[in-house]
Amino acid sequence: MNSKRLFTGAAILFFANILFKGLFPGTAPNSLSVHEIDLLTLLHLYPSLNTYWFRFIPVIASSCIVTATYLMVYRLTRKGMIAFTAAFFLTVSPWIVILSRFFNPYVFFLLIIVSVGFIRPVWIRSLVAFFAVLFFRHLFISSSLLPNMRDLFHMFEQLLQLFDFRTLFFVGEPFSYALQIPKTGFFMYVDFFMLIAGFFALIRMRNRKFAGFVTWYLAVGIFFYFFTSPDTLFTYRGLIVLYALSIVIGTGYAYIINRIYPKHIFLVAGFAAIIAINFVMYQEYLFAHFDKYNSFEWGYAEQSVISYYRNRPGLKVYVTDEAAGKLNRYAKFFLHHTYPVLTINQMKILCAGRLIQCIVREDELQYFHLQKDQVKLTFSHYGGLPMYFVIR
Amino acid sequence: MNTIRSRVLLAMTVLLGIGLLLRFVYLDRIPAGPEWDEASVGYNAFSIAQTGKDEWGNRMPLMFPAFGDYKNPLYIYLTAIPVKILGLNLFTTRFFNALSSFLLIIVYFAIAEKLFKNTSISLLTALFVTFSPFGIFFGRIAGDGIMLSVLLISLGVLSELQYLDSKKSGWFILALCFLFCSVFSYNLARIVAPILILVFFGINIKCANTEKRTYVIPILISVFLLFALLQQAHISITSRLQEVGIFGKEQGVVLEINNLRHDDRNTLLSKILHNKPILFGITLIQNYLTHFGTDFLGTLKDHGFVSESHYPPLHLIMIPFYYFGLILLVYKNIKKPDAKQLILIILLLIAPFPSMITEAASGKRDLAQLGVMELITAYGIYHALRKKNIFIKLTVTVCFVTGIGFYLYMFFIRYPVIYGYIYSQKEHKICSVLQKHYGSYDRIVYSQKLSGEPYIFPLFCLQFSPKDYRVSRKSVTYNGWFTVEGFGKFRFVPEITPAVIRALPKKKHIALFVTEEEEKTISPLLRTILSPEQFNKQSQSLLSNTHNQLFLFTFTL
Repeated sequence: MNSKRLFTGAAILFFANILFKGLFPGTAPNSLSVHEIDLLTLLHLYPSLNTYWFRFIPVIASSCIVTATYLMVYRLTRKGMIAFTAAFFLTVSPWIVILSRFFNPYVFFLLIIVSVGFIRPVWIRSLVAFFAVLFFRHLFISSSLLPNMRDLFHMFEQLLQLFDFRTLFFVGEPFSYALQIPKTGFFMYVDFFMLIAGFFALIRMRNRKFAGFVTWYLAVGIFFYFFTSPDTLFTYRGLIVLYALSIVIGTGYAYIINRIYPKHIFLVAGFAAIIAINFVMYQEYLFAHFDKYNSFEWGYAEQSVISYYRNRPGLKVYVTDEAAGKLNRYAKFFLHHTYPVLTINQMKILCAGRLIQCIVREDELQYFHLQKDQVKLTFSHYGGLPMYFVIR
Repeated sequence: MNTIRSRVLLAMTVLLGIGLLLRFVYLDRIPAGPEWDEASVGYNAFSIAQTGKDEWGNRMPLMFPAFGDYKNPLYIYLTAIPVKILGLNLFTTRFFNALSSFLLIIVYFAIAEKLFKNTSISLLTALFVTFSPFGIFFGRIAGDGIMLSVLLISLGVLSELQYLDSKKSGWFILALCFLFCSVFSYNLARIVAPILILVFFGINIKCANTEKRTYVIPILISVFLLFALLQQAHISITSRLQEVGIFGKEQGVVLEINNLRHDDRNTLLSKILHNKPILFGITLIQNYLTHFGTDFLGTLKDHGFVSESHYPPLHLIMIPFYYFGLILLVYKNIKKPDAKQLILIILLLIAPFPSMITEAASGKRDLAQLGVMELITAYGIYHALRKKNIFIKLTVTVCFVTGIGFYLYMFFIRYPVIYGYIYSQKEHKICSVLQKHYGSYDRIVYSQKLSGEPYIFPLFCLQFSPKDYRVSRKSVTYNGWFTVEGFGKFRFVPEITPAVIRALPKKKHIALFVTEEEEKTISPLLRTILSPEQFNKQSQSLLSNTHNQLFLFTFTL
């Protein structure tokens, strides 16, 4: 492939990524997470409520990852098909799609690690990756440079879970709903066969550089995994491992397509149809169901409270200590002030006032002898789970 | 040649000696027991040995009703032999599963020899089966003839391989007989055996080049098997599927479909994407692939079930060689199919079928893979390491030995401590009290809150006469489950309440076993019956486990 075609392909991939991953930035997820708020605060970015322009930044980073992968795989294999399929299926893989849809440091870290792949020789590349991991750990995960030895055994068991087929292709993030697309794994269902085909193709290709490249990323991925903490989400911990597996899957697609095209055109059509159906299925789960299943892990109810009272400046809002926990983090971010905290007894006296709004949690209603249907107002998560109750 | 043979013989003798020890030493203590199903199997075997009838009075039944779960017959009939000779106890109840697990070492050594004609692979297979966590665990429990069915299936495979070598139809018939018998040992064989039989027919017709009349008897046996399966299905399968399947009554999948469609407001797209074929299909595939995943193969489980292993089927170091062996075997058979190796691959691929229709991956229902996984791992290790230097081989050996050591420590020392409570601790304490003081009580009462099926434990531990039991038993049937309300001196009630105590016969010496919650409810009444000293003394739990308390009150009204 000449360089003009190569860079044209790269440009197409880059802009296609931005278009695809940047679709509907205020949905899936439809609110900010606490971690997004922390990161935006760190960067002194204060978007207004219900604007999500900053989510294009991880989209651009993710698009750069895909483009860099395309160029790197082509450089190693000299095969346009493998480079294209690796990049294409990296684009549509559920794990990177969800990772690109909210502001987080992990997608930028992945971009750095992918870029490090261009460095030669291997020992310098490895050294840079090592320090990048340490630095990232220190900055975003834990102040200590080295992981806790007691956690290592537990994390080793969880590593087996990361590589499990059920996790990779059907369940995805097993420990939190925050990043779990319903009924979807980190990869599409059909990618299972491509993973096997990909490993098979890697062995048959006898391309030591390319195999070494994938192996290097797997090794760095496992190293990074152990340098996170057991509380960190699998999607983050397995980030680089998932990236390496994506390349293997892309290689598998290229291998299968080369075997069946153009000899068996109907087979190709059937194959494409299956991939398309799988893709449509998980996109439907993402855009139609993700927010309903997961919004309690994000901040939909908190943003609803803030949005409501921002339009009613005459009302004075008070919260209990329990209600304040998450709500005031959002209030501080969007309003630059927190809602005052009162005790239950103070609320019993103060909340009788006409322009006073007192917000409590469900288990605190009993102190006011109220049932859920007797409150003035309820703020729920997108899935309908009531979170905050405004008492009379 | 003789030297090699004698070395192989020595190695196998050592492995068999170790296998014997691992399966039979402390068989009656580790795991603790009996649990419900074991007590039921043991007592029904005892009843068959004594009277030729099961606990419900059925003469030589095809299925044993037991609690209403319809246990498979073959294991119970075989267990009647050691029970008749050595009496009813946990050792004799578990004997045949332990023996089956032990014999599996020899069978898979022979299968490996037939397949690869490589002594190293065969010995490695025997080594892995000897130390197989699943082989040891499932060989030491007896809730059903699980290990017996695995042995029979593997004997069927071995016989078929012998048939392919010798072309003597007797071996094929023998293979079918083994598979036929396996169906009556444990439920997994109801799915695995018929598929294997079809595979055997297919391979034999294509590869064996024998005359058509050779297949007459095998076809007859297969028809008998089908008839037997239909009989079993009539009795028990539909109830099993309703209880344990993803298609069962409490279908999470159907609820999920309804929720998804409701979220989508029942649009056409939602009906196309969210429907039973698609979601059941995905669930089935997911459940199936779980059995080949690293989580199932390598991680400890903390489920607290008596009939599932908490340890994974493979030692950690074996997993990469298992995958390598599997890929290599499949690749070689794609390039140049070998009928015998294909049988092994097919067995591996169909073994998860019984498990994939349940809610979660089950080692018990997937047990037909036992032996096959070890053989494939041996194949993988042999090809991966044969040209490698001694240091790598030593490292792998050390990892393997460490894995075995860790497993043996976990199973024989930690497991009884951590999970002893799940093995009917209360029921055994009651049994140990009754074995000493049975004669001094006129009436013994406890509830289903203490034990779901309380009657089976005193039957087992007292070796209660089956004839007397059948004569004195009072039982009811509810939703297909049989509940025994009493027999002999025993009465089992739903819950011990003051009303139950007031209804007890007067001037009889009563033994009342109660749980912690029941003790709180009835203690005001008991204080009026017992003297303060008696009450205080009897208010001490019989068990030292603070989470699992048991009280015994003895009195005369």
